Amino acid sequence: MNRDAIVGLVCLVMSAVLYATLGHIEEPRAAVFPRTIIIAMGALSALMLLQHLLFPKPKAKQSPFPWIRVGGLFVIIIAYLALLEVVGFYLASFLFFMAVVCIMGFKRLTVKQTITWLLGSVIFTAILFVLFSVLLEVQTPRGLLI
Amino acid sequence: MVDFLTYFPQALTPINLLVLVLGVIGGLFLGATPGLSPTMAVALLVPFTFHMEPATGLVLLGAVYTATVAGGAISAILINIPGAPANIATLLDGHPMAKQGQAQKALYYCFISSLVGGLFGMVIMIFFTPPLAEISMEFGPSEMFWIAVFGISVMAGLTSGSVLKGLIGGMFGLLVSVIGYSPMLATPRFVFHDVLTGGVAIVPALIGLFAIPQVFSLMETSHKLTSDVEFKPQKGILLKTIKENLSHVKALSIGSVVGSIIGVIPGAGGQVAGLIAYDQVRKFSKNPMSFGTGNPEGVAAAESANNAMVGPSLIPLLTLSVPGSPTAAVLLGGLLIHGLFPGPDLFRSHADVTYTFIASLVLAQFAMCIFGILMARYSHSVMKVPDLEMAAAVTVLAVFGTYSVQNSFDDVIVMFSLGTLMYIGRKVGFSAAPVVLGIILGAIAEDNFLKGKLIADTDVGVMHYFFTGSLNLIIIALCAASVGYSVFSEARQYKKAKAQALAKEAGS
Repeated sequence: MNRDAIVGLVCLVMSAVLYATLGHIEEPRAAVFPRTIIIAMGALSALMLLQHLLFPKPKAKQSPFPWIRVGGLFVIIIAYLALLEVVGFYLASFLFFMAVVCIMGFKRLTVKQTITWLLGSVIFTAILFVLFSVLLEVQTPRGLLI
Repeated sequence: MVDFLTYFPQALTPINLLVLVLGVIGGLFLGATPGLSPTMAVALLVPFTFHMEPATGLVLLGAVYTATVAGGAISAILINIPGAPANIATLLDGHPMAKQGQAQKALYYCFISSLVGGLFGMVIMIFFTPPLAEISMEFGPSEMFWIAVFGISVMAGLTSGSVLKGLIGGMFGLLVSVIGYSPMLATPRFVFHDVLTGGVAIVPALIGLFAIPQVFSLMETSHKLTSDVEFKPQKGILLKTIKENLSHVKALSIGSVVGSIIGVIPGAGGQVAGLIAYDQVRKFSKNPMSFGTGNPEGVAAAESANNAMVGPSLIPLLTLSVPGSPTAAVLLGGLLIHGLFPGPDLFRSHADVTYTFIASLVLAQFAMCIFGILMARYSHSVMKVPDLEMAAAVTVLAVFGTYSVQNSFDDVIVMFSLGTLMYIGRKVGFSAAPVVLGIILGAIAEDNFLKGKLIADTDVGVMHYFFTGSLNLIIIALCAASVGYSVFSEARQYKKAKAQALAKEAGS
């Protein structure tokens, strides 16, 4: 089964699961519109599954997926979101910026580069502070420290 | 036209002018940065407009929209990477010009042609939008429901490689829009976790769907932007270039007309406009072989077309809630959060805001040209912002922008979850634009669907109510035509790909 057929199958299963969850809804009239959409989505998914089973597209060569870089960034963002309400927006953003450039750019890590990144992070955070908290006076996520 | 002139001075207030200039300069920078799309730039800015007057907020969004489309040509010309999809046609002749030592001239051509096309598109918009808005007064719940479906069907067909994936994306967007409590019946739907109780707000969805996938994409390749262009700014060529550029009347005319027509067609967008105009100008040229080797007419055609698209792409948006391009879809979100609903009311009750916005778009065209020309000398350094710093900065802005809407951390979680899901979706061929449109049009579609059903149940029946009447039938036919056209194009591409694969096999 090719990739698009699998995508069609996943969408079809998702439609079925969502349809089943609507069965427990208290007010049936509130389910009319979502049910109509799910039926349409299920039909389109089935069509897609059939289309790619019957007429598979020629496979294109794909370069290997950079799991470490993308996965690494994903983990850093999760950590950033977890830190936001603990240490506050500005400190978390500073740490996030440093983490992204140092961890993801470790190949370029030298003392000079680290100092440049450190200065860059401080300036970036300071600009955010002046823009959001001083000029716009907007509330940002607050934590224990800021 | 009278209304436009009446409200024009409001676009000239100091705050609006300041916002306009900042928006244009920022838009040119963002547009020139490969990997940051105009749609993402506008999506990130929407939350900032909360703290502004509606007119000022829209001036900012409009200025960024206008400038990013033109700014994308800078990287297309200098490093052969279009800053935005709309600039694909620009690089065909722009980059060869730059390689021949005419980078500055190519950039001047780009901004002057963008101004010509942009102004033409604005004239079309100013004359055609109000009368079309009046026609939309005739629309009842069934017509409005079909209009929402039409918007999704058109966007689905034209922004994805596969019409089925586009439609599934649109349906997914509609489903996301119904998460939370039903507006008419106060019943919870798809509330699988507490963070979903309040539903999915438009801004977190916009930011998540456009910004987060882009951030992950920046990580995929360690972009080392290398330029094969030696950029040497020359003095005193501006006036000569303006004169030369304006003498290409045919290229500018074809570009402007094609761009405006494509702009009005919902979903088509600047990418198509630039390529079609380029192709037409080449066909009408006495020397078609010179295209692709550094012919300035190619740049003039492509850039006048993609900026001519900007104004007309807002015509279906302001009259029917059907955006003409993905960025216009995000602008629709900007209008809605300021309480401005497309249709005739926009030109009556909110005439001051609407016409100030339209006037600012005209001014933005001039500002884009002036600042673009001023920036041309230094544009080479604009593209040197490294990926890691860019990814970090965009993520922080996305988090802030999302949080600031309702001071809700739940929104941030929703934004990031949707963004991650969209990144995976993009990997398997889904596009963000139909999903966003589904989320935005979901409320309109459901509201009108339920209203229509209530009327139909007490009167003629659902089938009769939704499937008869000339307006209903016209819109349904348009839906069918847009899907049919997309299916036809896809089938043609499939045949072409299969033939190429067979030829390759036979060759090896």
